[in-house]
Amino acid sequence: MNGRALALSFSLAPLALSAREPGGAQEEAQEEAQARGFLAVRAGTIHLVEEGRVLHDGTILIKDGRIQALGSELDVPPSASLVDYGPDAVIVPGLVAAFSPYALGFPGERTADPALSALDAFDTYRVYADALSGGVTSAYLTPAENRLIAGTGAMVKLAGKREAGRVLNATAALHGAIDASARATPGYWEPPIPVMVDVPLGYARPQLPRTTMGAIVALSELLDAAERPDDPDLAAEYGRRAGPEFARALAAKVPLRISAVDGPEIRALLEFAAERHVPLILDRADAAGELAAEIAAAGVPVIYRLPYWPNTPSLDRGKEEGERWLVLDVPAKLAKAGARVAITGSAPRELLFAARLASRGGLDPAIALRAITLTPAEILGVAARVGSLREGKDADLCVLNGEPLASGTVVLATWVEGEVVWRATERDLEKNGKTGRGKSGNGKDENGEDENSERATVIVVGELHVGDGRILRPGELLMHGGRIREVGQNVSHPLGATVVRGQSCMPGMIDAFGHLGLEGSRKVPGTDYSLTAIVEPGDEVDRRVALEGITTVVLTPRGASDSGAPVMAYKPAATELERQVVGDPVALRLRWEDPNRLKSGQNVRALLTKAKEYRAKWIEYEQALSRWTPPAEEPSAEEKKEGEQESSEGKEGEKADEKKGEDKKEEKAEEKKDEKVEKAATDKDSEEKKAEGDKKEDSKSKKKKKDKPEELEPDPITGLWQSEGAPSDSSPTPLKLRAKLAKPGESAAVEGNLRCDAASSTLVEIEGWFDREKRTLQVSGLGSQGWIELTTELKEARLEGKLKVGGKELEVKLVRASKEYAVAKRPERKPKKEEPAKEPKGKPREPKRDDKLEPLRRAMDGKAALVIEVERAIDIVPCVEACAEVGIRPILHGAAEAHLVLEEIVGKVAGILLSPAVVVGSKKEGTNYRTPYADLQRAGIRVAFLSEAEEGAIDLPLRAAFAIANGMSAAGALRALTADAAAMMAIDERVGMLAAGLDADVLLLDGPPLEPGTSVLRAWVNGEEVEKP
Amino acid sequence: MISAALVLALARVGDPTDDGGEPGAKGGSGLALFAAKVLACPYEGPQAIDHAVVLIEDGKIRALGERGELEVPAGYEVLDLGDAWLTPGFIDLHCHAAGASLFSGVNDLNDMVYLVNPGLRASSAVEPWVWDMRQAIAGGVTTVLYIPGSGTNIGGQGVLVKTAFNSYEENLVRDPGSMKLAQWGNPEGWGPGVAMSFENWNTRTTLKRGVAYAKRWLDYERDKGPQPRRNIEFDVFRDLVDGQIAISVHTQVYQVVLMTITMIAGEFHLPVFTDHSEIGGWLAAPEAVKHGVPAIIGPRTTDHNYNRGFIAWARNKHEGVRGLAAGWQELGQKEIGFNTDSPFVPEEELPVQATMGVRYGLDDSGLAALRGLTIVPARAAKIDAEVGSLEPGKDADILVCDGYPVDPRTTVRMVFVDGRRAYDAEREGRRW
Amino acid sequence: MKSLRVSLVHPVLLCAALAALDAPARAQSEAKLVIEAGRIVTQAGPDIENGRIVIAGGRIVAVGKAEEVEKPWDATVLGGPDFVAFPGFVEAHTSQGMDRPNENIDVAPFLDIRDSIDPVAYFFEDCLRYGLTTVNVQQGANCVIGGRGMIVRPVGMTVEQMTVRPLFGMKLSTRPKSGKSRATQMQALRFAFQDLKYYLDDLVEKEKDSQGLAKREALFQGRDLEAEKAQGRPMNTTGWKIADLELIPRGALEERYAPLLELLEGRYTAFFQCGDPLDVAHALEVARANGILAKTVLVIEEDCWKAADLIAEAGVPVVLEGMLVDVQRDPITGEEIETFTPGVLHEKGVRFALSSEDPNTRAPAFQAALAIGRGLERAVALDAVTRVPAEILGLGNEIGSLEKGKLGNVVLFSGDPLSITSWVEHVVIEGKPVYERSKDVRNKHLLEGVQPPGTAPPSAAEPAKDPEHEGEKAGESGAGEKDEKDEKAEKKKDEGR
Repeated sequence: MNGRALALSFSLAPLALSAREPGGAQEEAQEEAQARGFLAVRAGTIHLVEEGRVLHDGTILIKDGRIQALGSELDVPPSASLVDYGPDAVIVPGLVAAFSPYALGFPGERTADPALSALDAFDTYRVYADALSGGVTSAYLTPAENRLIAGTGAMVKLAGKREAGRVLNATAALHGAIDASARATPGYWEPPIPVMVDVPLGYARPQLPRTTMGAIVALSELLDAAERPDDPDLAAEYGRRAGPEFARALAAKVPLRISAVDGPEIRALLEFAAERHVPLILDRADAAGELAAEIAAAGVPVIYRLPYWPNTPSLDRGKEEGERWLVLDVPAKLAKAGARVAITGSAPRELLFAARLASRGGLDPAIALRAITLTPAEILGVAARVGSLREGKDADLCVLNGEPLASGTVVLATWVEGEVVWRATERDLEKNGKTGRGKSGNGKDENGEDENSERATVIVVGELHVGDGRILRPGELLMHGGRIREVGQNVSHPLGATVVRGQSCMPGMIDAFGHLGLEGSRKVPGTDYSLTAIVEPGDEVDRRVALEGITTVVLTPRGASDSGAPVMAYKPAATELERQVVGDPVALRLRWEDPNRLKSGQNVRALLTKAKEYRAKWIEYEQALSRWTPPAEEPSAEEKKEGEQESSEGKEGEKADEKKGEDKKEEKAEEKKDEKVEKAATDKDSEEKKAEGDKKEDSKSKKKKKDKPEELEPDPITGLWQSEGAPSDSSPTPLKLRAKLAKPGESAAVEGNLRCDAASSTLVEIEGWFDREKRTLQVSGLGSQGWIELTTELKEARLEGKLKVGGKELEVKLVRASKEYAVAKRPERKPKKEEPAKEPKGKPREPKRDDKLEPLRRAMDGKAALVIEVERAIDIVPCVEACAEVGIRPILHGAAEAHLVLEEIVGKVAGILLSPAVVVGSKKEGTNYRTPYADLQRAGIRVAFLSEAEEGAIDLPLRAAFAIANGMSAAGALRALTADAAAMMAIDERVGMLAAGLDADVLLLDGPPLEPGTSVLRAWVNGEEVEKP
Repeated sequence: MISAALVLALARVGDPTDDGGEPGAKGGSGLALFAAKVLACPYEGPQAIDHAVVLIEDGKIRALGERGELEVPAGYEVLDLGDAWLTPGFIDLHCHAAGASLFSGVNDLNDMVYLVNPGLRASSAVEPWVWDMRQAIAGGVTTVLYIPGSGTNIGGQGVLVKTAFNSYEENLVRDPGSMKLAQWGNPEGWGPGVAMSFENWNTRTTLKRGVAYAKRWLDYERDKGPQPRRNIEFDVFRDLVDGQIAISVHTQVYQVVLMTITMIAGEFHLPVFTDHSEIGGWLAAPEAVKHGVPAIIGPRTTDHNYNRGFIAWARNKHEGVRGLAAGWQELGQKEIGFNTDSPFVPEEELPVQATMGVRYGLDDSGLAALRGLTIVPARAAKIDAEVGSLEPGKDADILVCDGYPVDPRTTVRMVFVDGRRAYDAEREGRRW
Repeated sequence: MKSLRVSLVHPVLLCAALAALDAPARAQSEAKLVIEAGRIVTQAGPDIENGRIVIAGGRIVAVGKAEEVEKPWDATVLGGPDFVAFPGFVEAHTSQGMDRPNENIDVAPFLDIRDSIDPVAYFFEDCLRYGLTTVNVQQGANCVIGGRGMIVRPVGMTVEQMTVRPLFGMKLSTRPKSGKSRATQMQALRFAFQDLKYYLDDLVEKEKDSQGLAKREALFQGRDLEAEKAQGRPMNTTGWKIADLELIPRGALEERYAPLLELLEGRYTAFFQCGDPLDVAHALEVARANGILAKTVLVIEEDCWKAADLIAEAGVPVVLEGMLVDVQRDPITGEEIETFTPGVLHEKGVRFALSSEDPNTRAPAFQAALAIGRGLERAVALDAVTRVPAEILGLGNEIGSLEKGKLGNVVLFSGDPLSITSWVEHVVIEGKPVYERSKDVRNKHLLEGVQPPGTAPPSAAEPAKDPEHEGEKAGESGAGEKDEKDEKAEKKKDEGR
């Protein structure tokens, strides 16, 4: 479904609650639509029901709530606003429920009470959410039950404006019953007022019927009373009102809707109707099956209530011979005999399901659909306005995600008179503020994790590639809340799920070693540096990469210091930072070889041993902790501390002391390291210092020379600017601007990007001009909400001004957080070590964390990876050995000669990241080319494809295709791009496969993956479809 | 000598078959009673006579006075009761025990078909021989108003009977003795359930029709109208309208008592007295005085400000225990009587009600307590011509006590009813 | 009058004084009262700083600045510079202070609150504590046609003494009575009027073919034919009519039917109980169909704001019972939506009074304060508990503000009437001081835990010290019911804070 069209359809949505003031945006959209007048609704399939016609890729043209035109090639006036539900969607007429409990109340005291009007109980202020969510737009209001004539039923619209228009037929039928339910009518008694001895108390006068016979007699007598309103006996029997009211109803040709269950009852009714020439509707009619022929002959329509009630316990229908067990074939039989039959279920919401049951009982789907739309509308006298899609009728639509009677089909949206009154993802929209909730509304679900807040998506494909080589043909996948919920040949289709159909699908691909996100930076930060700091939720480039199939990038800086480099895994195209990062760090990257061969591997070994000790300490601590039991009650912090130190004696005491000693050492070590860090290339801290310095300077200069404008530094623009203060209504719009000034020291062009959620959901590339004289900076770019213009003035190292987007103008005030453009950073420091909280006596103390060693420790626990750059065979083996000693299975990077030492390393390495060279040859071997990827895989060693580039990642599928072309198995190549890459990087619990519980990173393809002709049609990251740039 | 006379007298007194002829009784010789003190309780005038003699003849009091001044006529049997005190027999205007009782298995005193039943007659349910009445005599209660229960707004007609004898005819004082109204508190259970506003509206409507019926008869008697069709349901209103009898009302809780007074006395000017008159009812005293409605109190004798069942309704907001009789008295009610609602409180405990009244602050300097057992109820029920005090011409219903009967230590030695000795502790053994 | 003031303290004294009240007219004509206050909120024009009110014969004869209004030498003087004088609050509709809010009979227009109203009900006592000086007591909501109510002043030992307007208002309900559905409720309501029509038709018919039958029946039933002029009069309704009704002497109409006819003829204001917005439409339909729209008042609950347009269009005033804020869940999103009902009503130009029907929100001052807290203009909020209800009760010229010629119903607050810290110190009704907080024993009891003399329940011999403890004690007791309510009120105030 096209995102924009969707958005439009939402913006057209009316208020779900009739009494609800619309939000501003909402109103505007509404008015716009009104102004345009025309509204066009599209879907892959449209059932008109009228003459059983079906439109494919049809369009419904709506004006003023009525259908203007229908057709497949319909020329839509350019002014019309378009709502396209896409090729998968199916539209049927708003369903018509021939039974509803909404007006159902206590029955009257009389056996026949035509004046009891269901309309009195029609609450137009109520939101009939359940029915609307079932696609039902019109319903029959049952006045009451358990009486011969319980009252007058009405046909109404379940949504729409509070005008009379909502009443389709005030007197749709005289509602009654002759079955057992009508035979328990209590006696009628009017208490005397005043209650006095000389005012007779009277008695409760019994009322007919007690039998079917009695019922028929009573009905006939009522007709007599209608003819002779003054007949005192009849008046005494049925009350002086019954006669006239009956007469009125019959004069208006109001049909009798009488419920009859058993054969005899039905037969009796048919005879009665024939004899007295009254229009009859058979209600319930459980036994209608046997009497289909007679009913058809009598031309009496039937409103059949399917005897199965979902959501309720099973009921025993009796074990005797001839008990009527659950049968679903009645409507089929009636239809076959040529009788008109409408279908009702246990509740309006179950109408579609009831129709399905009927078709399960052999009813032709087309007739079944008619039986919940046009037929009931005809029977109850409202076919002129509802029940089918035809020019001039009300634009009541029920939008489905599949064929109405197919099992998995659910309602996507419900329309009444050209307005959306219910949609499956109401709450999701709520979150995005796309519907016009009243100002009073305070929606609860702001957080994206909320499952209900997102709409489930089901992908149905011919072949589903799991990623580990398995292929499901056909395959289905359910994703919801950002995760894959089910994978199989047949998964559940939750309510409101979007169903997407296609050729094939596969997991999002992984760039096993890439730089997308470095934005050109060549800096090599320390191994304890968190790369999360530099990534940003997806901008256009990221999205384009994802749409080429690369959804996960294992990010590492270009090059590495001799202490190595950090490695993280993230999803460039994800929209939220929280869910963008897969793992940070996922690995530590080291180099084995040294220009001086003798030194090769030394630093790695050293690091590993240190890591080993470090880990040992943790293990000891954990064991101690597991042995330790907390003291009865905690000594209150301060005063006890002294006592604790002294009183700690014996083993425990010693241990404690040792610990202290160790800690001291640790701390020293720490300090040294820290110093090193400062020197080391990590620019982070220094960076910030600089920034702060500037700020200070500025403030100083402010104080010194107020009057004279302080002279500018050569480049006052380049760097990261962000709005100050917590984002709130009062303070300026939160905004982040990365700018680079072309020529320092003069007015010049400025380029960069800016992120401002208020103005664009995407990262906006901007260009502009900095005027050094005027000290103004003007930049602009295209955001998701349209063209963005930022006009600011440089005041005391602050950029103040306005941001224009679409109609609105936002105030911005920016401070310069850093002067470094290349690598953007958040102003986020290392969590400073706060001293441990006072802990109960004798509790083992936690060893100090070492961010540099953590990755290794995790690697030893198999929770992270260790990537070691090593090329030659003679280095590979010792390297692997060294790692094995500390229980690490490393990932070899480069490893050009790995094939020479396969036996030694197989099973000891997590995987190998080969060079881009897929095919290797040498003079010696002539044309006996090797395909290392294939060779290694064959030998049982995981390989993965890596771009070592930024957007260059998009080449990977082609590289894989090339590998296949040179002897790699298609399945293997796919594995290398997905499952294997994930496995070796130890991120396989998040990505790499299509399996329940994993992130919903899915690619929909138009053919088998990696086939040359195959391309990615659509891509989802964390369950959100990646928007096409 | 005296003792001899006594013995002699004893010998002749009441074997059951004795059909009179006994001194003092109908057809017997006269009887002169000598006593240390007589509390005659006339409505007005001196209440006490010392060294008194009471002359009884044909069951009526012929005369009474100081022994010196009033001489005993010839042929009179003299009975010297020594230091005994004589008082009028007690009268209980709220009795359900003189026959078919609320306690006798079936509830025979509430016919709950209609909400108002002015036609029902308690007289048809009287059983003179029931033990409660034997006890009543022993307690000095010589006359009771036996009334239907409070199941409906108008339970029916009460009957005034004496407690002494074994036959209804002998006991009968007046039938109907009253019309029994239950203003509120019990009839709520009727039919679909009713509450004050409908009950009062319905009762008012009934009274309207009843009074209209009576008026039509009056007109007829004054030849001012045609003879009305007789309606036994409403006959009782004829007695009410010409003041023969009063309406006795089961009423309690301030609002209800107020309603009783304003509706029955205020709107319809019918003779009425309030039974029970409890639970804050005393607050209505000023209205009662204004409309001349006597208050007959009991069996509850106090209000409490803390919750004892429905006593919370007393709206007795700021006091601890409040004596009801005292309350009525303080607010100016002179006509204060007592009732038992027997069998809920045993008939013979009627005087105890008065005792409690005094205990909780009733000013008894004017014999208010004793009058509340005798002349006040007599006037309230409009039988003060026959009973309620010791005055010439009235029935000789006399209690022989060994002191002031409201004093709990005092016992009843002997009871004369219509001049006949109906109870004699010494002979039959003391029953209470 | 003196006695009335202490009435809350000692019923005996009170009753002793009732004799005086028997001739209230005389008492009033003589009584002169001067109320002095640091500020007078007149509710008619601007407030008056240190002003003076002179009341004679139960009515206000002068209001103004102390220096401008001279003080009669023989007047009793009340108040002082620390007080704020405010017009007595007016309760436009309540169903408290009586035996039971409703009978079980569906259609009972003949009923009269007078028969079940209880002068010593705690409710009326509380009214004084909260400064309510005029209360319209109507039948409860659980009915089809409930009966007739009355307007009372919450003081006096007999209904007569309390009565301001007898037989005022008729209660109808479009909210389903228990055991009824909406449809059956509406049917019963329509039938009630239809039955009247049938009855009157029959009556006229009978009258025509056999003279005087109805009259005879009336006499038989003891109905007073002289009460209104013996001959009937034509039906002067704007709704439907009965031909030749003048043939029927009014007294000949049965008690159970007559009041409904009087309703149609505009004798009573119709109070329609509306539970849901849907009921509003129904109420207006019935009112229009029977031509009583002009004298219709809707008693609505918070969620009826949805029908505000209908109400505005019909131009009828409403009494808002219970909560001020309607909290609902959107059945589609499940999201919670709050709506401030008075706000909506005011926006749509509906005249509304705030009721204190619900004990939890009893104090009208509290209701008004809450409304202001939610953004209603102060003037509007104050009118909603004084002027508007006064107009609804047809007493616009009598009460609702402090003006010359109006009744002397004044409340003296210890501070701003809407401040949660100020108390009702004095209440004056028609020139009679009827409440004084310093003498309000039960108030003391609650706040200070001071046990009124001789009220110690046997369980607690020595007076308890802390109020809560006392509260609990009292909670079990009759007096306790009240105390609990007070506590609730207090809590409310705290929330307000």
